[in-house]
Amino acid sequence: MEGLTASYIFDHLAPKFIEDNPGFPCRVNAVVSIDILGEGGGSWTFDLTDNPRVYRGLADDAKCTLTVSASDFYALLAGGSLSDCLEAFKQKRINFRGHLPTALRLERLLVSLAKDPAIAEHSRI
Amino acid sequence: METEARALEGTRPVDDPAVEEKISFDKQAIPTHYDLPPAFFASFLGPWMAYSCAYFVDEDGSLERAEEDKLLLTAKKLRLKEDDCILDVGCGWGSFIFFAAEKYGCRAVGTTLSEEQARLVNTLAAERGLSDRIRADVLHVYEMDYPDASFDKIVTIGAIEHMEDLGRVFARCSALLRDDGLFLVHGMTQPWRSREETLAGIRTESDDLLEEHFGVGHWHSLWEVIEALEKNDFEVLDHENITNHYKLTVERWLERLIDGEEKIVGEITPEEKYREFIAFFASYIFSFEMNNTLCNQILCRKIKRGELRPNLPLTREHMILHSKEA
Repeated sequence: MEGLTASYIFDHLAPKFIEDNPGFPCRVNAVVSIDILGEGGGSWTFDLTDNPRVYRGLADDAKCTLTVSASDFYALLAGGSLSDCLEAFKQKRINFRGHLPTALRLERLLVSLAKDPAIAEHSRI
Repeated sequence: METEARALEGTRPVDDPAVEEKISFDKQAIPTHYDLPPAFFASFLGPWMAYSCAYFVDEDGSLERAEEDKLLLTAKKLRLKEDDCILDVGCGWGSFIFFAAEKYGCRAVGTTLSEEQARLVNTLAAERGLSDRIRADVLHVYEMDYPDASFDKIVTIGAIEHMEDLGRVFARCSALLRDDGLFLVHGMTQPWRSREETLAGIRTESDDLLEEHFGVGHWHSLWEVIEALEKNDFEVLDHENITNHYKLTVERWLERLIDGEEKIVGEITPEEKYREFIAFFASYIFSFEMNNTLCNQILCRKIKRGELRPNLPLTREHMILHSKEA
């Protein structure tokens, strides 16, 4: 994970994507949390309702909370594929609480992040 | 781009090696999904075991009510009568044929590719004293060899998604239906822009997910379905878009799967299969939400040019779910 941190993704890239794509929060219209376990992990929440923002920590009112190991998270992020994420779920590498279809609405963010040079570079490491 | 539906008159055409190959492939691929233990499907479906879009009067409605309302709505559109003989193409666990026999007194034959489904339907029919009125046959849709004009009404619910050549299927249905008979096609389609990509060989994630789960998936556009109907002597009497109903239906199935995890995984199916269905239903809902998958009911009548047009209902009142009119 050298050169790529969760903070870079959630504190920089994701907010920029939301800012650049004002239609995206309307498309999601929900609160989704993600709990990344292990070294390089942490917890973040996408509040994509009235005042869209990304913040540290889990939300009690999240419509869906995803749990994934840091190594799986970075690998899936680099892949940028919803199918791969669902495959990881089938293999118990991702778990969830709440309403899973809502989390799938983050697909465009996933696809966009995978194209970031730092994430793409990470996938080649 | 081959979108032209073929009009095959009176086909009984397993005379083509390519078709035989297709039938053989479907017979292996499709039952892998439907031959799972009925107890697994019963863990998330409603009491009628209808594995297709239900019909919700309101967003908070129960699956039980919506499942029965869909069957009632379908029966009303077909104007079922006691002496009707019905064919259900792709009958699943027999929800519609049981409904038609038990609520209207009809005789009904269902076809399925799943031995497991046919066994269950025929066993239940015997247990309920309905063997003289209900039967399920294990038969590919291209192999329906019943005598021509055997049926007053034909229905296919949630099965066209497995049918590659709708022209061939509808031609056979046209031959099997008596003149002036009604045909109701209920199934999923995709918007033309998505269909165009599929036809151009561009696979979408939805294509992959659905095909992976069902073994065989053919997502036509609505106009292709209607084209195939019209080219086989059907006039469209009514079309209803029921996409939002299907999203609500799958939401209910997903809730039941999640609520029943302990019992389902412990007693009915391996966890891997359980999680496969959770993922599938989640992606299904997402696909409806993003307008990648649509669902329709199309009511048709078999017509003959030059024959006197009968009196038909002038309004849709008879097919409003809880209208008093039959």
